[in-house]
Amino acid sequence: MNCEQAKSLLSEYIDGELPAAEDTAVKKHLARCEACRAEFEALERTVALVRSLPRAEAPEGLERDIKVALDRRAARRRSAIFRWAKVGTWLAAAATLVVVIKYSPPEAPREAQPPLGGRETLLRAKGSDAAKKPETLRAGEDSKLGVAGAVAEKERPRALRKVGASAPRTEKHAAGLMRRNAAKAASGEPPSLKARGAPETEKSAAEPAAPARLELIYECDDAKSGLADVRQAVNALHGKTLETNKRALLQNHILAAVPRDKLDQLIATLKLSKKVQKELQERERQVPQTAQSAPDNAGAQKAPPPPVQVKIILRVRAGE
Amino acid sequence: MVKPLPSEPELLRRCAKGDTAAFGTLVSHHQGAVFNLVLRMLGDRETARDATQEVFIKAFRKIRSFERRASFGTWLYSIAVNQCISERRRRTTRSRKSEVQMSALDSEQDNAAYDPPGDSPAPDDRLGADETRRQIEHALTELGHDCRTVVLLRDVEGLDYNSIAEVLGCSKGTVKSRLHRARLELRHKLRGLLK
Repeated sequence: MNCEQAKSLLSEYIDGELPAAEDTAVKKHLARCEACRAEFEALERTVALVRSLPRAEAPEGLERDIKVALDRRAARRRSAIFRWAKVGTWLAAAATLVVVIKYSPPEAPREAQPPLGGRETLLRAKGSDAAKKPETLRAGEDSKLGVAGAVAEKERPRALRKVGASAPRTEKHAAGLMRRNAAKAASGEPPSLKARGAPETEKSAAEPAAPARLELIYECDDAKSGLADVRQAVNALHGKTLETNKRALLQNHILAAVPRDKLDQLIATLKLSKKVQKELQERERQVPQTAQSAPDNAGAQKAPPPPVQVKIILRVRAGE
Repeated sequence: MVKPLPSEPELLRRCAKGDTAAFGTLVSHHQGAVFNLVLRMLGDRETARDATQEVFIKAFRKIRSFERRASFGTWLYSIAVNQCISERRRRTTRSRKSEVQMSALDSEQDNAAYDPPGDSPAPDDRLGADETRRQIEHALTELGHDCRTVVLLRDVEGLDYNSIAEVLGCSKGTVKSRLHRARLELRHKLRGLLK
């Protein structure tokens, strides 16, 4: 081993990090080389000086500060987790609300609940709903709906079907009610006098408290003379015709208010058949009960029975 | 060198489960060594205190990633060295002097801290010892960062070459060459004390 090799290994030799063979070789070289030995001694003293430096003690309270910092960090993490959990809860609630609003059935079926008196309004409302929805759909298709739009597109036809189904149901219900009403009024099909729900009476059919209106069919040779006969008969019985001739001729019937107790006389005057009279009497027994219930309940004051509104349809005899 | 704790594996297991009390035990055993290294590396006591605190906080945060190949002390040293590098970079970006401030080491607190325990030398001897210490510390500060780190880890903290290589993440050969170069430089700087 030469001096250069020995000098390059001096640091490791001092630390005892050399393999045994090299350690021995350096040791032998230092024993015979004074310059390298001087170098080794200087280096060894340098290392000794550095190693002689006193160790700095950790400052007071460092351990406590570290513990406090760790506890604070743990608390921050806990609060962060709690905060995120809270945010997550709110988001979930919001998402649920959105889903509920988005996919809840339309309110139309609930509108079908009000009493039957409001049938026309109900039907109008449904009609407008059913009319509007397809427009909305078409508008959605035209305006290139996003995800929400696509969902709405899927859902709305179902809603429409519901609306469409509920409207006829209500109509059927009303028709059923009318049938029951009519069944109360008429037990058979009269040839000239028919108790049936006219378009105007549909509303009153839905209102059980409203007085029923009779329809009479007067067979005459021509409409004008028939109308004159009816007016004369009604006036003779202290009744009152409620429409002008022109209007009556246009619609081929006339409305008249006839005192309840004069109905028989009117039928007789207009030469209605016995069967019709019987029919009328039967209806009379039922109709006044509802019509007169209010005055009866009113108490001591005895008011005259309200006049019966009669619709007299003019039917011109064929071939005469 | 940090004394290995017989219960260290158990303490580490508890720490991995978030047990701060167990970690406190480890801190009390290792804080002196870490603080000493960081103080020699940074030179400023207050900065060294903050950096040491940060080292332990990072250690606790990363304790699950600690592989048992090296000792916990060696692992702490590697965190400390990296923390010192970060601190020096931070100082550079703040356009502060990166050199170690000797004035910090000259403070009264430091004097008390560096007093060798047990001995009570005569006032003249004490002044001489202080001067010697100051010169050695100054010579260390004049070394490059890599050389200083190797010298401190070997001659102050007493780590073997393999441990130093692990701490620095370099080869054992690099450690040898850096250490040899650092010692030659120190010998030159401290030649006045060597006569």
